[in-house]
Amino acid sequence: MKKMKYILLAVLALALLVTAGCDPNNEKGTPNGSSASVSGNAPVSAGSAPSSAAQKEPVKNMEIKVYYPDDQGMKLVAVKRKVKTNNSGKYAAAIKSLMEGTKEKGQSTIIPKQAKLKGVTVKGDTAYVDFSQDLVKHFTGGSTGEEMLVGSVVNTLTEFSEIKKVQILIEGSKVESLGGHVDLSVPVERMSNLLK
Amino acid sequence: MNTLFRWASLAGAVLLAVLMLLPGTTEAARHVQDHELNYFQTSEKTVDGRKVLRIEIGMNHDKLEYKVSTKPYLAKQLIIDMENTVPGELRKTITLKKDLASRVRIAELQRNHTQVRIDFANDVQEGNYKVYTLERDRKAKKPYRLVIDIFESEGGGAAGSVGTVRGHTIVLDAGHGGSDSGAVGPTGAAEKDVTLAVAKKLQAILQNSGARVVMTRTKDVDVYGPNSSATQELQARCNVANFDPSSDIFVSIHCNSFSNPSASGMETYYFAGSRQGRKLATLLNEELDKEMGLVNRGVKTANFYVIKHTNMPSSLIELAFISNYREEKLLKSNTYQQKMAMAIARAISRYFR
Repeated sequence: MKKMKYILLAVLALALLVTAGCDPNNEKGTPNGSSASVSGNAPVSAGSAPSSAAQKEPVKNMEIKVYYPDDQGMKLVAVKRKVKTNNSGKYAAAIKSLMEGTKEKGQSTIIPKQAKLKGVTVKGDTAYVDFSQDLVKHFTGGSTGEEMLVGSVVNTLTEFSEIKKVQILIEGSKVESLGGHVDLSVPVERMSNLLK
Repeated sequence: MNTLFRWASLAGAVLLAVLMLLPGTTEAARHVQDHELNYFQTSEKTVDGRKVLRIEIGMNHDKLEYKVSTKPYLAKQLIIDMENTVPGELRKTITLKKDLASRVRIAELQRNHTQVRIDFANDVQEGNYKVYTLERDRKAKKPYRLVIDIFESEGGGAAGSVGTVRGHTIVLDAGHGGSDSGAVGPTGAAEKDVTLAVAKKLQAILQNSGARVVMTRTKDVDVYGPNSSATQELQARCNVANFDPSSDIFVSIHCNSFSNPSASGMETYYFAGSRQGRKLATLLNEELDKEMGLVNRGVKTANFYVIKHTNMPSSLIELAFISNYREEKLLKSNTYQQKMAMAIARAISRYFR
């Protein structure tokens, strides 16, 4: 009886792994590697809607803008990236590209590399971007770090004209704040005061 | 008849004599119980890192009844009234060359009622002194005595003072705390410790200047109660200010941090649209700039929880970057913490001017 349980578990786990690996949206969601710092095989399922409709959407090369703070954490710098994605996967693709970080001079990476994107969904003009708990756990920054982190996510998503507000979620839930400063209990509008 | 009268008058006389004697005997008995002061000693020591001045006033009997009081118009004086006590041989005025108190005066106000008045260096405040009695100590050759311990203000050192804050209520929020250490510097300095140290020094200065100070925390703790969740931590801090009807301003003290260790400087924040908040943040920025001379990152607006959800003018201060090696050193330094606290106090004083 006990053995049976283990076998069943193993089979289930295998099945999960296989399906995750086959997720076509996943492949399409990753950047195409045109930028030096982009690596294209992160095995996270971060697609916004891995539905059959999404699979049928044509994949194309898209130019997006992501934002990184400058060295002093005073302003956000816009960086152009090319990603291979489709229309419904572009939001997650942009955030994943942002999460790759930067090695450019005069720019800093603020999203901890341990953080994982769990998904981006859009309702009306608001994007809900869901991160793993690691974003909070590994966040190191005061007011400036938090302002820059939130600003980089919000401004990257509001680059898409249909997105006006961004609600950051942790493991699917709303939080007061990431690091004790920025109010994340309600959706945040584009932070244009951080742009040069 | 005659003998009866004689007996009656004799009994009456005896009764009268007894009655007349009685108060005399009780008076005499009470007189024996009187305390006569016969010993005076001061000493200084350090308890839990706080300097303490101990004044011991000894006497010939135990079971002293005393009352401790202060007068609102004599903010720096502690008054102790002792019943059934005479000053004895002690001098009426004893000058102390101490940091925490300057003079002790002893006077017999009424017969058998002696009053001791102690002039403190700072305002007399609960928690800054303790009065109690100690039993006779034969070994130390000390009689039964009244002990007055005067503690240095909690910020350490004699707190400074500023004008125009008297009568105002200021809510101080030492950022982070307890389970949330805040940012941590390259050599391990925790933001929560720096913010608390500066807030306590600031509290001492403001109280010393006559302000009422409300602290969101005075220890290394989370502010939210044991029955609420960690996600209510920032709201709990706002509630401390919002639930106090006399709160005039809210000042949140933080240390900044960034992923790039070269980031440096001081900045102050207010919530966009609050005129008074902007005034407060501007004054804080000016005074901290003058005092510290760090890179001035400016007076800014931000969507910060505690300045958004408090109902009174508020500002959040980022003293310096704890993630920057050089600034971490300043933030850890007791001297600089005192300087920063003084600069913030001056700004608050200007705000109420």
